[in-house]
Amino acid sequence: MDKLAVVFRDVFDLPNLEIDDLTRDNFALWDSLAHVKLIIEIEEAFNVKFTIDQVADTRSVEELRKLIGEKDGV
Amino acid sequence: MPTLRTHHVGVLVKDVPKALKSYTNDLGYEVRSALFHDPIQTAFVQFLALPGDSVLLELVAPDGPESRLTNGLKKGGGINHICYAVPAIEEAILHFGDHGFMSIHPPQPAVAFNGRRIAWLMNRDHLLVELVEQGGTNDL
Repeated sequence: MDKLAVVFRDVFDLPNLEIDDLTRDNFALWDSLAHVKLIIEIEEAFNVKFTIDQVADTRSVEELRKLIGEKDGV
Repeated sequence: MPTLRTHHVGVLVKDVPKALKSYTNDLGYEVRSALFHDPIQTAFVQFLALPGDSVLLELVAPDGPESRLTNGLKKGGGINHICYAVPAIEEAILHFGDHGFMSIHPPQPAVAFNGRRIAWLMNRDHLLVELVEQGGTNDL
């Protein structure tokens, strides 16, 4: 199961959301408040902690996947 | 630890004038400010208070379909945030950051507070906190 997609779908309340190409620039709902909600939910789902700089610098699903450090099935 | 004073509780509504009538007519609130449009917050806001109460109630509504508040309203609105007045906003942000809050917006001037700056943070319980620079006695 794509855990990251589950988090996105839950935060944005969009059950069919495809996330792979999403960035903060091409997805209007991904504003600064949604970003913090995503980070909170990702930290809980993946049992990771991000630094303030990592939170601020992350602008795409691709970058989030790298940050989480899971290569397959995330 | 920074000195915090509860400034207001923000309530997300569809329409400020309509909600205001309900709070004043049904619950006895008094109007404490004009209706402001804050383009940075993409919102209309107006402040009320109960007689003798120092904590304000802020009615907040999206200023259009593109407002960043529109999505929250789709989920039902209601109590949205708590706002603390602080003497030094940067110091307070650092303190909140040290205690699990993530910064949503750095300090920005707010129309309703005559340009005094506000900042937004959220903790892991999804508590949305607004900080506002403390004003003078006659300020909101």
